[in-house]
Amino acid sequence: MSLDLVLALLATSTVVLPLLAFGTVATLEVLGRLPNDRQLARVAKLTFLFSTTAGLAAAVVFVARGLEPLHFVFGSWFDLVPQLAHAASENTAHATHAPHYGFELGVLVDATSLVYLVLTSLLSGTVGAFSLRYLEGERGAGRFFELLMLFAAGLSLLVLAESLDLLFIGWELVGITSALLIAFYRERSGPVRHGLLAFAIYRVCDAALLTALVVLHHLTGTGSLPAAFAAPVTVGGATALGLLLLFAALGKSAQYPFSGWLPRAMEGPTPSSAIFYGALSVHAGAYLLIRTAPLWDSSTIARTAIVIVGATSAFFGTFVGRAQTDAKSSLAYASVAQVGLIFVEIGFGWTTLALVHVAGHATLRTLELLRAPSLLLDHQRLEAELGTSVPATGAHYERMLPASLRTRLHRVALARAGLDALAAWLVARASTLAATGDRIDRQVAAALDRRAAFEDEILPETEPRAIARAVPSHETAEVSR
Amino acid sequence: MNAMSTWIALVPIVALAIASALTHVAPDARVARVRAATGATLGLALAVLAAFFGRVEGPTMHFHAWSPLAFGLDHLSAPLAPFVVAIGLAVVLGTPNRFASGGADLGGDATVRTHDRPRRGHGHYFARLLANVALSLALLAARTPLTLAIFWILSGVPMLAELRGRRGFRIFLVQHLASSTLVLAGVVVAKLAALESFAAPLLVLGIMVREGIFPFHAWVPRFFVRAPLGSALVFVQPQLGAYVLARWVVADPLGGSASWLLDVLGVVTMLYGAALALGQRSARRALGYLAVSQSALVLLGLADGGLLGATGALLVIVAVGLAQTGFGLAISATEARRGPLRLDVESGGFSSTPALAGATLMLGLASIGLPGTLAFVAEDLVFHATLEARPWVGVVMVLATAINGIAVLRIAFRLFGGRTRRTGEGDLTRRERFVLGLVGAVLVTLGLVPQPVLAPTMEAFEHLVVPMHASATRH
Repeated sequence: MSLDLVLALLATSTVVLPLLAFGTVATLEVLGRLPNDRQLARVAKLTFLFSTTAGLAAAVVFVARGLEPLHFVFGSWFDLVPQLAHAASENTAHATHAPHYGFELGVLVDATSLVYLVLTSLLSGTVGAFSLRYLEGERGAGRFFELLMLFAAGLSLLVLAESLDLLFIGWELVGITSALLIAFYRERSGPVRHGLLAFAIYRVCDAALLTALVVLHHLTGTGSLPAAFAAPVTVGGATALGLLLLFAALGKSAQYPFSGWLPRAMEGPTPSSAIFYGALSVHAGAYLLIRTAPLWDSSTIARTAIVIVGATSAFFGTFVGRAQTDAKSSLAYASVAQVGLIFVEIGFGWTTLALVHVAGHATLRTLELLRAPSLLLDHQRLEAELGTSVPATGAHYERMLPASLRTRLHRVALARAGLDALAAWLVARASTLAATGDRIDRQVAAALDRRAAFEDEILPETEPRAIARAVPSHETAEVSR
Repeated sequence: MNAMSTWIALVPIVALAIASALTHVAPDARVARVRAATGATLGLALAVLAAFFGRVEGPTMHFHAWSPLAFGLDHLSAPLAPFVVAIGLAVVLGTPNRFASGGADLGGDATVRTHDRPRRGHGHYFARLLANVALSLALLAARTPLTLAIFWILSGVPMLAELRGRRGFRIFLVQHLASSTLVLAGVVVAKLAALESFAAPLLVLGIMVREGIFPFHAWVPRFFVRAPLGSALVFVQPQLGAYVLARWVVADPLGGSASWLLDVLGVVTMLYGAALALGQRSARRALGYLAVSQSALVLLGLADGGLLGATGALLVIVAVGLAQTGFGLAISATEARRGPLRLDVESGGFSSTPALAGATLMLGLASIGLPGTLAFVAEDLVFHATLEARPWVGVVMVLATAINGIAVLRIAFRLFGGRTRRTGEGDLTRRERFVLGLVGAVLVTLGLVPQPVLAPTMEAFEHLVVPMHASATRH
């Protein structure tokens, strides 16, 4: 077996192992034979043990192979080849209508993806191990491990994908698992709403990635990254690609103006916050830009836009983060700021620095987030050791400002620079518009049906009898509450 | 061979019709369900056989030629035939007992009683479902425009019977009369040399009414609220309007005003449907708007006239149709337990009914193209084709699909999240678990191994599109 194949298989098993584990558990669940949380934790433990080992082994083989990038295609997932010969040959005008369209499954292992892969394997393994103890006995711990396995598979896929098409699948899986983990405590209102918010932002930004994917196909005739890197792309095309990819990256990496969801995402269990919003998911946007850099780096506009967005986010994250009063929120904003700086580095073309920054930041932030629940304990211990209170630090820049301005800025920072208010306003406007459409639809339908427009509506607030009829009495109390 | 194919195509239709009649006279709902399920399973097997072995070879239906009644499944209709019956079978199996046995399945006035006993005379619901499926199948098997128009008109009859005497009857009648008149007029006009150019716009308008394309969409959400959810799914999800459009474009690509009209209104519908689904307070209305948004996606994919878009669009009909049916059945199951479902409050239930909540969430996600399900592959194809050919249409399409995704997750989270539910409602029964699990399994299996569905679908269009208008291009 050649070394290439070994490397490809090792790298792929970081995707396949967690995916298989997840698939098996999900199938059992559908069959009504869901393993209990303890068994699920054991499955997760083994899965992460093997996939972390595979990831690290891949790194060793990569080094042994002489650090040469490996582009390995296993085959095609599906393939649409016009079967009739004349579709392609007889009529060239129609050939544009009948393009060959396939979806290849392959990996691209190079220094960039390997750094990320090792990081993914190590951190998801570590956090998995941490959660075994941290979430022991917690209701729904099994579900946590299930989602964590799907996330690990999605992220490894995102990292290793040889084509933008495949990367998109990993990207989507990371998004949906992230939203479901934010809403982990699903019987509380906050987590559910915040999970939905994160998902909404992801989806909107994912639309840009999907568009970029098609633009790439259009410009280069392929979705495969190595082939696309070699293909000539016009500056206009590079700008379009760069801006679309930047927009896609904004959501996952919580960059300005889409930073609002990140502190809210901390509603999930701490280990998932650590791995998603400290370590891996939050850097996915940066990875996307680093991975695709050869496609857009000829465009000054795209690079400038990345620098501006990164700098704005770094400033915004620092500014707002300083006013936060809880540990996880300040860590979230600190992440926004650091990822912003990483974006600036990427915009300037310093991708190696950016990669080192990603690795350092991810590791440190994971540690900080995992320690966050014991912050008070740590603080008390420190004070006990010192024999006095811990001196306040970090207010250096604040002291340089006049006191009146300080208060005002603090207020602005607490209000997250008005970003939430703006978002709320936009949502309200959109809802009003939708409500108008809805009202017109009802009136039209009512006119055609010769009925009152709103009789379809269930309005228990105004019609207590309707809900009393509809819901058993012991539940009515809960609804009206 | 073709005479034989005609008979083979008629066999599942006749079988379903007989099953419908037997179901109609069933003594109670339980027996009716058994008869209907047996009939639908048999119908499905026969439809699969017909699709594989009874395919008519030869030229596609041409709208510009006079011809008498004729039946037969060809490359385009054959892949859809088993799908239409499968939707019917899923609904027969998945309809909650309460709704099947005459507990009014009406969004506004459902009464909640936990154990309705089957009552006499309520096999009618299942009988009408099967009749609807049989007529849809006949529409698919129509080989001449006249046959097609006749079965277009007849396909609304079971639904009218179901709605008779209920609210929602009149608006359904209005839409059905309007769309039937337009389609009939289109078919007739296509044969008159002087008026030929009006045929495409008339037909497209008729299709738009039935598919609920803006501004003819208002009937769909009301229909979803007023009709039994199962019947609504069986009527809407096969997207026969889109099928007829596919029939038309393979024979005669849309050009000029019809194409322009469809593009603009399709784009508006996708966004509008998605936005309104997101803002709904009633789960049923939200389902209606989701269906509207999705049918616009299909029409836009088809209207392109390209091989890739058309293949994708046909696959979207199957993938999203099946997923939305499953999603609808899960919602119907929830409604049977709780009464009318509201989306403006969080109702809880993730822990007390985990299987029901999980099924709703997963089937909902499958309907919006979660990777690993068939809808992902299908939508991927449509997006590629449309973004290549008509970038702006494609961008709106992608955006609207993103919003649909948010709407679906909101429905699942609002129905099952946000608080602890302590009402003692039961989780999925074995029957429900079987149906929803099966729908999910089919979607995931085909999503992971899509080639067996992709190849024949593409082949269908190749056989029909390429020979018919090899020289026609829109770009």
